Amino acid sequence: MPAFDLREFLLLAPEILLAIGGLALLLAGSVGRGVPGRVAASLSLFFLVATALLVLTVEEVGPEPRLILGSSFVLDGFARFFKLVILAGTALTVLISVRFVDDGAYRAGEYHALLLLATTGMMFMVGGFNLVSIWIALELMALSSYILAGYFKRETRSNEAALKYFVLGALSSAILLYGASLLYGATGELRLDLLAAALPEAMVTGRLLVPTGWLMLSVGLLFKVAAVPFHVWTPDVYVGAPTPVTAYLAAASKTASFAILVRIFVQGLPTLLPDWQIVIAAVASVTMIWGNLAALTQTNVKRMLAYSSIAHAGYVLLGLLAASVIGLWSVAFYLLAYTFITLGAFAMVVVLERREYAGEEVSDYAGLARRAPWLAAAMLVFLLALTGIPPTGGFVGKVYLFAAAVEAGWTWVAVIGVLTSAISLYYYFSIAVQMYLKESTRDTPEPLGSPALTAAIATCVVATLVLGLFPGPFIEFAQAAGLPLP
Amino acid sequence: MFDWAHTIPILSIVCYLPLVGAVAILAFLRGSSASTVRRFATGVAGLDFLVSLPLWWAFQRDGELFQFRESAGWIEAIGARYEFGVDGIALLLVLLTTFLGFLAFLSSWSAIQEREREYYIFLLLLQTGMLGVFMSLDFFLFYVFWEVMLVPMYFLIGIWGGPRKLYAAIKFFLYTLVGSVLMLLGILALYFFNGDGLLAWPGLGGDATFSVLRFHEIASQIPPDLQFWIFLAFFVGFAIKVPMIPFHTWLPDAHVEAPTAGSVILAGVLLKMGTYGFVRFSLPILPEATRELLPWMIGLSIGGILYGALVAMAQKDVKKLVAYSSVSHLGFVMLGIFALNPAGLNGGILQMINHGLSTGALFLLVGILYERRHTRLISEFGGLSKVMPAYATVFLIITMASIGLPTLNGFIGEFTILVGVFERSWVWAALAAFGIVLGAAYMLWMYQRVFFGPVRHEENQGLRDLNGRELACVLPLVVLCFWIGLYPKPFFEILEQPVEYIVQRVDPGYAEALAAARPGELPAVVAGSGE
Amino acid sequence: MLEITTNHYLVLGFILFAIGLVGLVVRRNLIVVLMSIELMLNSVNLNLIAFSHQLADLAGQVFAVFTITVAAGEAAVGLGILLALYRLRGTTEIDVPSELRG
Repeated sequence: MPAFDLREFLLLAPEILLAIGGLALLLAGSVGRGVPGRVAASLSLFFLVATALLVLTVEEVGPEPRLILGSSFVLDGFARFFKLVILAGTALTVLISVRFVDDGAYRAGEYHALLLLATTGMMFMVGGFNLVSIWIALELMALSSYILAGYFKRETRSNEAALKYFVLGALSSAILLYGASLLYGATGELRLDLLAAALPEAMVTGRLLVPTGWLMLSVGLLFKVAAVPFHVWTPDVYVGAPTPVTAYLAAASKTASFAILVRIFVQGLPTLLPDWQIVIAAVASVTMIWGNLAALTQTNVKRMLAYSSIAHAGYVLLGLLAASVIGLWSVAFYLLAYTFITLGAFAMVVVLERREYAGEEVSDYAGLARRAPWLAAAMLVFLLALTGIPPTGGFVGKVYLFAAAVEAGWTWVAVIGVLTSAISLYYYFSIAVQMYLKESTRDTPEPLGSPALTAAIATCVVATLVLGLFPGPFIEFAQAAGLPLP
Repeated sequence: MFDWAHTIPILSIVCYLPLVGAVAILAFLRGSSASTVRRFATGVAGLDFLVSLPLWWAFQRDGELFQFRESAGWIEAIGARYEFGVDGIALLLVLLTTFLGFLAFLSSWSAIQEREREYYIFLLLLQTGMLGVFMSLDFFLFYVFWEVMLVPMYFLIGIWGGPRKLYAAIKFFLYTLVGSVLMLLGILALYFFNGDGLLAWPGLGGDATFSVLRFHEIASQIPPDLQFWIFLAFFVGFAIKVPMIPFHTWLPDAHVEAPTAGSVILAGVLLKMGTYGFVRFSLPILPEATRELLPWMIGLSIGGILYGALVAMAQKDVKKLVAYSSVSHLGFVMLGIFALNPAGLNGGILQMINHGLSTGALFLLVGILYERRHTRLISEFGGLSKVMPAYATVFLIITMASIGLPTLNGFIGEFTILVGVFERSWVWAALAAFGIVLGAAYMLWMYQRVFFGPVRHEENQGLRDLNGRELACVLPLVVLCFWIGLYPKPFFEILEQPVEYIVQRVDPGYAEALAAARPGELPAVVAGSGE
Repeated sequence: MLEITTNHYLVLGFILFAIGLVGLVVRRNLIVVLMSIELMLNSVNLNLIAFSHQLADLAGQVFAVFTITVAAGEAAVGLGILLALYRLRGTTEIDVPSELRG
């Protein structure tokens, strides 16, 4: 047995604090009439900021990764980077949620508690170094997310979203788990590094176990990041879930899933690199193609953004495909930028959204540039960033991803990437066309902001532009998130 | 007396002044009337032109190749830097941009009546984007400006355009975006080749950089097959912008639907970004691929000349006619550039300027007519020379400039191009010359139908002649046309050094022979390079 | 007498997993779907314990214990969603394939 030092629990202080915060909110929410929405939101913001500060101070990362608690978890630049990105994404989600949760007439305490618990799961996940700890963290995230998707429990769409998310999520979890069990059987290891070390031998002795195992593991992970052909849950769940939850799923949840996908592939399965590169190349190509093509015909903004998030999963896979130093940086940087961009875009959906899911059509943006020039300008920035046009973070991120693919010799996948991202202009700009080129009618919903929402949108715009104009420090930040490569 | 221009970051000032103006409109002129915004924006554009003017005098003809250099760190992590600098070519295009930009602002006063605040903001942003493209000496920075500029242009066409504006705007945007993302892959390939290499090509191990000058230096070390692929990637990006056939189909749509100022800038400056790209990047960085693909380039250029001219002849709409004439003229520019000798390049670059002036002026004039009659169909006019004598005179001069009548600028450009092309092959020159004849034919035929004969339409009887502001828009262009036509020496002087630099890089054999040959004698290689 | 080897457990695990998978895809009743999910998770447990025995390594059993715990949580969440659905629609039948417009 490895040495087990109780003091190492202190190094998990951020996660523990966040879990305590979540539980406290859950308790407070169930006592009497619960916590008022604004109080709950402020409390969860407080916990998120405190956790981020703890991550910055406690988890002082040395050049060497540090394994703690019997190697269940690892403290390295990679985990630290993604924890901070996820916390930022969650904090913005909280800001977006305030008015929405108030409107919904559901208990706010539970909502925020679930948000914090899901985030706790993500933080454990990106720090996980053992298939068991990774799986449990993943389930913590997933179970909380299922409930969040169905949070508007008296509305059929939200309910159906939760149902779909649950059934397909559980399916993907089971497949992932089955794959993990086979890999365990082949190698006798659950720790990623030991697994990697034992694989070459296991590939000889365990003939069928290894390929079946890693393929099923990959399928489970690709389900989570919503890559084609494992994306079928995404559009319906994204449309049905309350919009802030959708934003959370598209940003934080996707980031965490990608982080763990990258960690497992790079640290756990380096031996299989040539094999999984082929799989990833194929998946990335069809994801970029199908995600963008399907988005072309959408008229519901949430559904369009759902397909766009599928397409973006394809772009991020380019970085993993490269499996190079630049590739990993680019994944990290892109997910950082994408968190702000996609949260900003969904925040704009929230601004226009009404009860009964009104205000979600592309045509509801008609004439927004006249009625709310600043909001329209903000949305334009997000659309440009999603397309990958400078001067936005989306541009720098995409250049980085394409650069990684070109450098690693996957030029044809990069060509698919650039062409599909040019095509994506068409549907993203259908919103811009409505905002700037069309006139509003009497039925067009008025934008309905709140200070928290404005703060969230402003943060996202500034972040998107700064990441595009002065990405230097952030690239260095992302470079600290590199993993040792095979 | 203009030496001070070297001591201040004048290029940045010229480039960002319009941006500052746009922000100022956004921030400070929120409640102001349209006319205030109009005056302010035009003032900013005029000031920008004034600030850029000293460049002409301060630029040392025999000094360094790239002057007014500005250099600062930007994205250290990937080696992208903030590098500005202009040589003679870029200098001329910068001046053309600020000048035409100012005129475009002036011309918009009466043409744009709705959403003026936004209009001027977009127009100012467009200026900054275009200026940045010509000034950047860092490929990454260049690309940022190259793409940023698409957005305001998209809105200019999309909001203030004609009936099919939505279609034209998105077509313009999609075409250019597809081209530029492929170009991006080419840039990345260069970047990695300069570094650790990519695919089958081991790299040079240089520091990570997007420096254009560095890429010029390593040109001879890039293996031909890699050059070929990068050239193709660049070609798509630039050729769509030029536009060369068969990538030209966005141009007539964009031109016809765009508001006058948009057309002026589109024809005057935007198209030059494509030809500029070839001159600045494709030729010096990828010389072997350039020479290898020369027949194709020449073929497409000549095809463009003839196709553009023939299609222009069949147009019923004046603006569309001018748009197709652009395809033809830009074919000339490309032909001159791909003659790969000093005469051809000189002529090609000068013709870029000429086309900017004369086609810009033509669009202005057509716009003026459209404001009065709200139609551009040739058949709706006739006999205008009696009603609008001043207008007819100016239009005639510009028409002559466009078809290349001696004493006007077009002649100098086309003649020099032909000299250059003739050095390579008389067949090409003959075909190109035939294009000139066609050009004269459709322009004069159009002029005849619009201005001569009886006034057939009642509405045309009372048309107002040019007013002061309109005259102020067009006259400077006329003056410039005459200046280049009568005394082009200053322009050739400023182009001499950069053109020599490019010829040296793209065709070292030619440059050597040129140096060896006695003055006034054609170099020996010319005779043997008939293909 | 047939000797039971690890392979037998693996085959059984695979059959259970397949039954669960098919049930999840084919059946429309949410309760059956939940049961299918449980079946799949338990087939994994079987795998893990068989491997643990074969490798003489405890980690597999620990993993199985965790899986059982998580499966309980999953069932709870699933039942919660089921209840909400039942209140809204008065049925536990779902029509997963037709709703998946993908």
